[in-house]
Amino acid sequence: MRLRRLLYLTALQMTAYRQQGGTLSEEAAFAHSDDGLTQFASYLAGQRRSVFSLLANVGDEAFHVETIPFLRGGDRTAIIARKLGQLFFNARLSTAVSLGYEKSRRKDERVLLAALTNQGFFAPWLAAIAAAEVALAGLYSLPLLAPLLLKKLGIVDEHCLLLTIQDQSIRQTYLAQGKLQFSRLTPLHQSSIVGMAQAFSAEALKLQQYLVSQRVLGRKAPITAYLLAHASARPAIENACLGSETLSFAMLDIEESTRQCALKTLPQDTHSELLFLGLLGRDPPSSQFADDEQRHDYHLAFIRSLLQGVGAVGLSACLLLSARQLMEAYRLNAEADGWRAETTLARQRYDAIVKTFPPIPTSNESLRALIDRYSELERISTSPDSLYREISKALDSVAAVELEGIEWKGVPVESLRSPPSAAGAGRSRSGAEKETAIVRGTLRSGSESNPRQVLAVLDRFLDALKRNPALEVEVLQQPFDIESGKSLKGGDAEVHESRPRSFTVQIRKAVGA
Amino acid sequence: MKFARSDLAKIQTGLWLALLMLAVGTAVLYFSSQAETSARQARDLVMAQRQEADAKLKQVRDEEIEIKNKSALYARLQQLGIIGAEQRLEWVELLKEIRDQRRLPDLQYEIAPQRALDGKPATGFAFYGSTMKLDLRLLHEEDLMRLLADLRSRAKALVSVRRCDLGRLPAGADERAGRRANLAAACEIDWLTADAVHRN
Repeated sequence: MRLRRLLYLTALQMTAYRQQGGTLSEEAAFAHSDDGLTQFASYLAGQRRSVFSLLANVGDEAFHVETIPFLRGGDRTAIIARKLGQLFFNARLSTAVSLGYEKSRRKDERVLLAALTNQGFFAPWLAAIAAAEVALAGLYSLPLLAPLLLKKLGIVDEHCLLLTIQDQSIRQTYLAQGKLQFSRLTPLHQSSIVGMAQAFSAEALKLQQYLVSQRVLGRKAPITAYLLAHASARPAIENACLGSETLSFAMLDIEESTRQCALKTLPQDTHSELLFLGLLGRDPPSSQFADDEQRHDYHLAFIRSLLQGVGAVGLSACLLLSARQLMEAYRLNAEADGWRAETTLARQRYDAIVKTFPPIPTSNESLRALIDRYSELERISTSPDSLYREISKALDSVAAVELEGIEWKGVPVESLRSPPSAAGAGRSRSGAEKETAIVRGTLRSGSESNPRQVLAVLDRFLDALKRNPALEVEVLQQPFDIESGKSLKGGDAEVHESRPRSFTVQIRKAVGA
Repeated sequence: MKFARSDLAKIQTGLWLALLMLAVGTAVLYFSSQAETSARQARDLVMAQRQEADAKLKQVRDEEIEIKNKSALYARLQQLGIIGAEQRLEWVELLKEIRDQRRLPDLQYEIAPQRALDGKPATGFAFYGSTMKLDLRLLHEEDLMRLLADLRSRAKALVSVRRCDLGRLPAGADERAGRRANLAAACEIDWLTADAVHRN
């Protein structure tokens, strides 16, 4: 973390302040001499990691309001650089502050061009800073902070003067619509309260007259001079600063103003250096006097900070994401533990139920397959007695039928070649298996009987069988071949008619019916 | 700002620090990502195991009665000799006993070699069948019924009759002359047993 340090340069000395937590504390002061510069270089050598801002309060300052065409980017920068060169010749410390755009069709821009004209005064200090390779964020002059001060105090006059006292000088700044227009510095000969009050009055009047003479202000135009002073100086100021028709005075309590600017270091007297330094540390203006070369180390420090910032942001993002992922992993582990406990419980319940089963030397699946297969085999394991009894019942009702033989066929066990797992498929075929009996017999008929009567006897036998709807009865051989597709023989001989007539009947029945 | 080659040395500390921070962040992110992935996979695995255990539990609850009944039936079948190795000696003795009890004039049998009914499964049980050809003389057809009923009730196997031809003996046959038999029967009967499959 880089510390911010503020340097305050006056005609007499350079003072270094440390800014920490919004509080300013003076660290060192260096006289404008060789010794002072040597001490300053030593001081800077110990502050290589600090970022410095330099606030200058010197009299060698020039201001000029210029109008430039409505431009943007490089063109604007180029024309401003050219104007600065024309106005301030070789002044290296120069800057431009935009004052807004004119309300004409061309929308020309009004620009305040400012320069610190005594390059020789700043050169040794800036050389020491450059030699120490410390980061110089910017070089500011006190008037550049005046608009910010009035803005924070809520003063939005059309024209106003701001008079402040710092070190041994009184600064008078003219602002129009809150924008800096002009500023000058006058030595303060009397540092007493009365002397300062008289200086406020005299310098305000002089500046007003100067602005009128420059036709910046109208001759009768009223203007307010804001005097930044300590409350203890109020009586003296009220006595000394008597307003006129065109110039009125308003005192700004320096302590109250500091509070309004949300600064923590309160000035103890009318001197306003700490207030301006506080403003600079808190909210530096965008315009400043140092060029890119003088701010080179600051830019490098900025790049270093940027790189470290990018790294820190990347690391933070990774850590945040990692934290989220670890939280999620923790949640998932906890969830898994819950599931695991439930799984163990379910397995224990399963084992407890299985333990109640009678001991068997096989698995449940094998047992199920075995028993299902056995049931299928048992279902088709028929015996001829069922059909024998059906035939016997039919014979009881038709005495003229005499059996020669019965060929009974059951259902071969091979017809149910269902693997244990396909027991369902085996069941689906249930009812399709049939046992069959082929009954061979003769019909005893009397000597008077004719073929019609013989056939009637067979029909009675068949009807007796068909009384059971589960039986499928089919005549394979009739006692007389009366079908159209067969030859039919006969004669008059009685003996031929009375011989027993053979027949064959097939009876089928579904297994289990 | 003009960036000179010598400036690189001035920012290299920041550059390395940034790279180090990014590397550390990436490594931490990688490991946390791995941890999350592993945790998710473990959770999914445990969930699958839980579903499987649940399904088994539900199944065993549903089939508790069925399995108990089947276990009882298994024990009975084992007792009856249907499960286990063939007991041909017992079968032969049973046939002789029935012949004597029922006073059958003649009873001839031939039991064929045992065969597997459904091939040989990898595990569990396999059913086997041995087909017996039975020729016998009968005084009355009821003798055949009794013989078959005796076999089905007393045999140490599941008895399944494949076919049975029943016919009258010719009028001049010896058995008939002696009034010992009127009918001849020729049957094919399967002795069915089940046995556990033993892996070689």
